[in-house]
Amino acid sequence: MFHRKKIVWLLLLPGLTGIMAFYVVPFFGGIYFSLMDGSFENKFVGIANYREILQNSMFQLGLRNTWELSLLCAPVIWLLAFILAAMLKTLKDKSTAFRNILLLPYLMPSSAMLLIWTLMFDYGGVINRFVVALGQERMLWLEGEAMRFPIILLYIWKNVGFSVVLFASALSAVHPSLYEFAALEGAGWWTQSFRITLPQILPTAFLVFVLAWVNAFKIFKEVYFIGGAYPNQAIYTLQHFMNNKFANLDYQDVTTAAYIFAVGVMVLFAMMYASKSVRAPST
Amino acid sequence: MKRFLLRGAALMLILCLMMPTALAVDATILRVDTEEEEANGFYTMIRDLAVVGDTVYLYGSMTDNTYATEILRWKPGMESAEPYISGLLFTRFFDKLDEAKVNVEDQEMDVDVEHGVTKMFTDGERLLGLNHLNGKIFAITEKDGKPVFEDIVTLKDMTALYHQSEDYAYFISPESVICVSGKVLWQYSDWNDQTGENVRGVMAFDLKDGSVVKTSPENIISIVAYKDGKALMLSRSDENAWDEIKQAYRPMDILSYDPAADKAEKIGEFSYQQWRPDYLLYSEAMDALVYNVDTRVMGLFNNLKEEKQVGYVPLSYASCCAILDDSLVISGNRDSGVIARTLSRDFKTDEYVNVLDGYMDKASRAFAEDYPQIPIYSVVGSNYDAVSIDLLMNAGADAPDIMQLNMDYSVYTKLAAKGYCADLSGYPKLAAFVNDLYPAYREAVTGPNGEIFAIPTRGYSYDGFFVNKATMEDMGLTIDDIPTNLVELCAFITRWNDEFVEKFPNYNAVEYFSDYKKNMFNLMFSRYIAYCNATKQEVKFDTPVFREMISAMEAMETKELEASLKSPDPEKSDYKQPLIYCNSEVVGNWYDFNNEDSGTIFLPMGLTKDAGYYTGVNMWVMFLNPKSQHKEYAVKLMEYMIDGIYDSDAYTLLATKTEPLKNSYFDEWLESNQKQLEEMEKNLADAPEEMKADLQSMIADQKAYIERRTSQMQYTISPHAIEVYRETIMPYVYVSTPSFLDASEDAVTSEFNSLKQQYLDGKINIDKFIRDADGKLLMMQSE
Repeated sequence: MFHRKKIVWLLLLPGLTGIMAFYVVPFFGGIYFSLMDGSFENKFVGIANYREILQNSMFQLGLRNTWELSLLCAPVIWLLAFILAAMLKTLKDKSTAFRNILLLPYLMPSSAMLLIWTLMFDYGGVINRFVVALGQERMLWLEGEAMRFPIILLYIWKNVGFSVVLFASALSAVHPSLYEFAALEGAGWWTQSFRITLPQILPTAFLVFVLAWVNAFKIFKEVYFIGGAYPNQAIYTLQHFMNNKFANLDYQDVTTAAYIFAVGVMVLFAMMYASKSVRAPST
Repeated sequence: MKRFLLRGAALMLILCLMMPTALAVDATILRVDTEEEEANGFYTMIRDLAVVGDTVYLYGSMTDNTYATEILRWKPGMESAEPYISGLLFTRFFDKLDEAKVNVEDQEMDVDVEHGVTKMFTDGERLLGLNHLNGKIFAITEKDGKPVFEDIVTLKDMTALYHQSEDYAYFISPESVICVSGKVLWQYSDWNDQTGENVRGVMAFDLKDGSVVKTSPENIISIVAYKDGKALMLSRSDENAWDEIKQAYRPMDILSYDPAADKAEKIGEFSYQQWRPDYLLYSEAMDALVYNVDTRVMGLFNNLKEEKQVGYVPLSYASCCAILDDSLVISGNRDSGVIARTLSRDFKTDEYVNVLDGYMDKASRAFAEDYPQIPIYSVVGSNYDAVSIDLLMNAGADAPDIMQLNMDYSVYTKLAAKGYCADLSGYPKLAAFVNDLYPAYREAVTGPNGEIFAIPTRGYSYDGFFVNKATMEDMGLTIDDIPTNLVELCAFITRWNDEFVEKFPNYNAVEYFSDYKKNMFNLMFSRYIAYCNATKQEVKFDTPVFREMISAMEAMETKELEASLKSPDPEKSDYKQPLIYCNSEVVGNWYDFNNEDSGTIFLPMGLTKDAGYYTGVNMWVMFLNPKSQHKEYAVKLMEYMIDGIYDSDAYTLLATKTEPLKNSYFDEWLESNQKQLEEMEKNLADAPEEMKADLQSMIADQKAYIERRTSQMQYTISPHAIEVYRETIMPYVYVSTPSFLDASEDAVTSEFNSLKQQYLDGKINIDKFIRDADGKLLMMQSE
């Protein structure tokens, strides 16, 4: 098709140019910085930066926390979004309103949401009143290790709506006859969802998982807003490390850390994508 | 044919010779020696400049009497301005004619009050003056160095020139005055008492019938005489001036105003980075609007659409200016004198020096005097964090050549470590200056191998403690009762709470302390970090020193004391005279140390018995951008800058400054007070008996005053102050710089603000605070 319809390339050109200029070129151009010493004169140091960063305890901490958060958030979003989408499917025409409500947090500006969140999880906020009502001690939700909970909750609440929309559109493509046959065979809602629906929408499910997972890597600004550049160790992410290094003019460390992380993500992505069932739905 | 060509060539040559040549000028036409003037108690103040024909007239005062004014004149070719007319009266500060007459009589001035000059201007052909006290507008000419006035018109209504409020009226000084098409346009800025808003407009005075009319255009910020008998006006309302989204001033409207028809027509827009330019003129020779962007002289060409640099003046500020053909004549700061510079549409210079946040101070002007062809431009940083500075220094031709930063409140140390500061050790004059610094300052700017990364220009510290002697004596205390460290201070505050609150209700223990535990905790926190930096120890809170301080703070009793500090009357200030001042200036504070009998005693307040006092000096430094494309002149300018360092800063920084600095006002002060004493003694001899006792008392007071103040007034920096600085203070000095931390101690403490607040609110105890704080510090160090 592309050979015959050269106009397609022309139409793709603006988008491709943008991607090249703002993603591809900087991505490869950044390798240059990772091989330099970061001084005003920028001297070549080879892979010394990579050796140093891999041994840096804060990089290790940030990387570990980032993986933990992403592996906590992504599956929860995926599962929750799938269940909600499946439930919305049963509502048929009435599902639009509920879908829009679920999408609302995704559209809200983060700073406004953070303000509400900090009020809710404040020492004297609504959540602690609820906790006290249950006979427990008030907690410092926005300090220390406990900050993980409101951050994860915020992330899930903000992003689940978008995943629901993706699932919902995939679900609508599944032929109803499959469910009729399954119902006739005595399959219940759960069996239908996981034995029929899920295999049918596996590529979309994979996409949802990847998006949720990649977005979870970007958990930073919420933590930064609440905890500053050096929050508790439990919530210190790779982005904190890179942000602090950037502010200190350590561009070489920023790019080095970014590439190490990118390599890890690409390897995992490739392993998952290798599965045929992810690439094409089962029939 | 040959003859024809020869004749043509000859004609061309004659025509070229006949063409008026450009009046190329780069000169200081009126020099001012401010030191000499201040020593002799007078100063030069140029009020107005006006051009008639090929002559610039300068109107101002050249003596210690600001009301006595004169006019000087200058033509291109003259080395400097020469006196032209003397014996004039400056009337702008008077509100009434009678008031001016009385003042003139008291001062025995030989001047014509009726023709006092509020504003001097020109209609292009004559020198004109306006006296707002009687509304006269007159021409000024000269005979034998004295003024000859020819009345032109008397304004019918002067009230428009006064701000009228319920109780009083005062004269509104004009911002600019021009004369076009037989009308004087008087641009003013007034204040509306009802709305609280600025009111800007232009009044028109008719030179034929003296009528005073408010012109139709509103919100006029500036006016300038334009071509074809019109005026150009810049207009923008105050409300719409600032664009919050763009964080910039909105463009002004350029109006072409016809005074005859009182009509204005918008002919363009003028974008300017600040409120308005310092000066705005129209150059007929270039057919361009001329104005300044910092030290650059800009021209707006092609019907006010194309902006180009046309010149450079070594001034940061302009009080008045004029255009003479293609030259700009401009009066800036008082000590800059009056400068003339050639403007050119083809202005270009390959050599210049960019200075971050540069200011045309004395040093820069001295450089400009010796190198008039090398402009100094100021580069303004929008932000001073590491990334912004990095971008600025890599901005190619626009990058600053000389950077000026405060070592403490900036990322200087980080920049130096990363090679952002060129090594200056190869420049003898700069190296010699650094060599003369006190060791603490020298170490802060030099590298391990003798490199010189920066040149200090100023140093000060604001973490000192002082005891108020009068308060101490009034309370019956001695210096032995005063605490010498923060732990003892906590115990002292408890004692104050228990014993002194009722006895001395008008005093406070520590200045500006009201919530004592909070204030003390914050003080201990910041002083502890400073102490660690000063002693080059790792910053860590789980230490005996920090814990001892906090224990003392937690044991403080302050309830009665804090209650006494709250004023029952909400409109009355809570401020009470303190016994102890904290966060006072130490390094750089020559005034308090000048006099052995000053009212305060310096108190080196340590943290605990084992952790002594240190004072962290905030040091301003300048350094050279290694990528500077104008190194030669940048270094030269730096040499001028170290020559121009203020005396007080030189004494702070340089160990070689051991001789006291005499006060240049001292002789004048002494003479003036001696004269007063002599007058009083003379009056005593002739006074009636009943008044003699009072006069004798006044004479005794005056003698005591002279005796008391002589030691204070004699020196700007006294021998005692130098001794105290070298012997007492310098041992405590360290240069406040960030170590592994991103920026200053203040920025570090901002990372801990939330943690500190939790502790102060009682949400966490000190152990949790220390654990979390040390955790944060460990993270910062490990990165």
